[in-house]
Amino acid sequence: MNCFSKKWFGKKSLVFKLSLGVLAGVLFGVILLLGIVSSRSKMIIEEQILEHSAHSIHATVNNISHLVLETEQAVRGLRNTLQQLDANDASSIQIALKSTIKAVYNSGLDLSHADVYSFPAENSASGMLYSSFAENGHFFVNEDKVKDFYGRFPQLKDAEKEEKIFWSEPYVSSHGSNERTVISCVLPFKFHGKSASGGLVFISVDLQDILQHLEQSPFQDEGHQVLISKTGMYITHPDPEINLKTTIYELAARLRLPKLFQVGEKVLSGQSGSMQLPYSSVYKEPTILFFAPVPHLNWGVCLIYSYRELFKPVYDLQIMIIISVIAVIIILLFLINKICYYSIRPLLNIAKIATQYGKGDFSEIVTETSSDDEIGTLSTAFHNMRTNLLEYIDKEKQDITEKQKALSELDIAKKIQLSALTVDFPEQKEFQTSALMIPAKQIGGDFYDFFFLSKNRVGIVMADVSGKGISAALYMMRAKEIIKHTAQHMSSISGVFEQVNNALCEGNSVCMFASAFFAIINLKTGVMEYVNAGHLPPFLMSGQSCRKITPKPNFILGVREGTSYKTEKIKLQPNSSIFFYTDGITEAENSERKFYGEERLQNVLQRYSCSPEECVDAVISDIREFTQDTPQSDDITMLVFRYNGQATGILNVDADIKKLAEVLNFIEQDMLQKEIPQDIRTKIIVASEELFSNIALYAYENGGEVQIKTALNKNSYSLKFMDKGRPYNPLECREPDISQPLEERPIGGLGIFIARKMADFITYSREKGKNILKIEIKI
Amino acid sequence: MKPEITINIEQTRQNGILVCALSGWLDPNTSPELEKAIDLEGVNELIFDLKDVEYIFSSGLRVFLYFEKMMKAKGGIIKLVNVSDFNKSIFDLVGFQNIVDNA
Repeated sequence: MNCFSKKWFGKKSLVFKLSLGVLAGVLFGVILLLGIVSSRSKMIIEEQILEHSAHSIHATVNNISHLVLETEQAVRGLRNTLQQLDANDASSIQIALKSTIKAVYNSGLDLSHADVYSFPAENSASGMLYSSFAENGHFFVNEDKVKDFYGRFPQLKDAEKEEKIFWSEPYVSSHGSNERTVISCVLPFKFHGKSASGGLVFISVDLQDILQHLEQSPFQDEGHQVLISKTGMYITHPDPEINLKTTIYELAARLRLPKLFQVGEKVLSGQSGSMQLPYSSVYKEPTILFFAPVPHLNWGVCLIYSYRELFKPVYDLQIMIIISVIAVIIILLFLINKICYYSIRPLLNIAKIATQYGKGDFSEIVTETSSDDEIGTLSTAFHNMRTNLLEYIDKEKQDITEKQKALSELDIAKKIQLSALTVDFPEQKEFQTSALMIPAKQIGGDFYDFFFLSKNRVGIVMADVSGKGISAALYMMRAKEIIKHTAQHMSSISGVFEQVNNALCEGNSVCMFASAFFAIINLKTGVMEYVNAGHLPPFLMSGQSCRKITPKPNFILGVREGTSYKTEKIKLQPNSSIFFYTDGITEAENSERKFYGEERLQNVLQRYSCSPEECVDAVISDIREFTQDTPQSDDITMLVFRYNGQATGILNVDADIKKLAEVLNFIEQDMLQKEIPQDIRTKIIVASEELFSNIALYAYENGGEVQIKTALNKNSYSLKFMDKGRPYNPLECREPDISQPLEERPIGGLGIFIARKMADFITYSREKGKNILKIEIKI
Repeated sequence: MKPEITINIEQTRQNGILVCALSGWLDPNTSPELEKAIDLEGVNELIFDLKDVEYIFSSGLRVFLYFEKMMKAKGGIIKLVNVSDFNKSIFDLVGFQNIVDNA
């Protein structure tokens, strides 16, 4: 996976990589910045909220307490006044009431109304309710008989039992057409006098008036203040479905907010604090809530903030930062793209030109060499490279031309050398020859030679000059000519080498030398005289056997003047071959640096003791199989000479039928030696038997001699029978009538008939007192 | 090639049938041997087995011609079996094919 991403990244352009890097850096920075800014801003805001909410709640509580205390004071004052009045003194009660309300108004309190209720007398069912109210700056008091006071003011029911001031739960009160939600501050009292009947004095405060006393928080836009009564009832909830209808406990249960329940419990037991809520009925989202108790009333006040609204500036800031970052990134990417384009364009141009240079087109020149940046450096280097390359190519071209010239001169030398080595081997019945020389890459020093010294004597040279190259070739040519020339004039073969050695030693300043094997073969007798000057001895192959000739290892030629050489002799049997070679064969190397070797060569020679051409082919293909593709390091030279034996066979034998076996044996051997095919041999034998029998039985009266000569001609084999007996031409004898029944034929005359049928040609002649009968059969 | 030219004759007689298995050459030296070696007394069928006869020369042909005549005179028959292709061609050449058993 990692490898894959590396590969993928590596394939992208430089612009892409740069952009990706910058983008990653900027994003990392922005995320860091955002994190720091957000957390710092939130901390500051939270600190401020804490401070201000505490202040705000405190102010609210103070304001309400002030109102409450004022009201309570007014209630107490009225009570005190009433306690000095008689229950039946209605006018005094009214005056007291009116003066109280006046005083309250004048003190700045906006009371809804102040009331006095006197309990019913013992004999009466209804009490008296005095209600004061203000209208257009005038104060009025209404007097009203009330039968069921608590039915009308259920919230005041508990006040009667209390000695001290009692604050009622909010309720709706109607005075005339005005319906207001109020809370009442109630205090029981007793009239002066013996009857001492009592009543309730209560001042009702409009809730709206209390709400006006809620401190305006600096976060009023974001925060919301909620009052809850001592029973937990919401008093200033913005939702009309909840306000004055639902308690904080009911709402906590409905919304499944145990934390809200705790808030209610805490604040109504007089504790203050703050609480985070995941949901709020006011904001319908996560909020933070500060709470504090309101003394005297046993109420609570809560200040609620929506987190979202609280941190809105932070969120706004974040959005602003993100927008600006996006703008910055777009501008950056644009700039990177442009810069890269202008920076890379010269590189692409250089790449293009480099491709052209690679193809050998040097026409275009890099132009960006003037700039001082890295591109300029590269361009200058590139420009210099072009100049140097052109110079180098020019020099190389010159060198190559010179080398080619030298090479072609060497080639010519090699061709001259090879043509000098080319020997047109004469076609002769006595022998067949085939030679092969494959020079190594460099011009080498191997050579062979084949020449006639007389009609029946041939000379064969196989030699290897030390070293390689032109000097070796020149030395080789010289040695070859000297050997051939000297051999023509000397009969002793060792003498030849002694003279050649002295000639080569003379003026041999370069200290070159040659190993050589020289043989002279007598074609008539098959005798091979030879002398070896440190050369590899040849192989002698006869039938299936193959052995190395082991000559005396005389010293090499051209080193020590006056060296003497030994002549040795061997008689070649008809149909045997001599394989001359140089060490280029046995030391041919394969890829494992192993030598071809003498043993392998001998194995091949044993298998291919046929014609010289086939033998040469077999050896060279076996060498190729061994060396495979390994380059040839030395000249490979070989020459095969096959001795067929004498071309003509002669037998002088008594003209006696007892000599028939000898005659036929001689003829058979002669034909085998000359490799006459089996069917022809049979015919010759049959014909010869008839002819010899004829001479033996009839030519002489008192015995004589027969001479038989065999000859292998180009396309035929011929036999001559010569005798000095009485002149007789057997061909004149009448042919027997073979259509006659056997028993009627004369016995005799069949022999000549058979002989004539066997031969292709049969002639008779009488020369110098000899009968000469010649038969010839085509091969 | 044999060192010297000889003829070996192996004779088997049974119910008037004489089988002569020949090996070697039939030439002027050996042919008279064959002529002498065979006694035709009581023989009415003469069979020459030429399996091991390398060459037949005219002298050999003459011997067979002689036996042919002898057998004809007696009213018997002569047969040559296992004749090599070359020897058969010699017999054919001189018109002796009728005594060579082709079977």
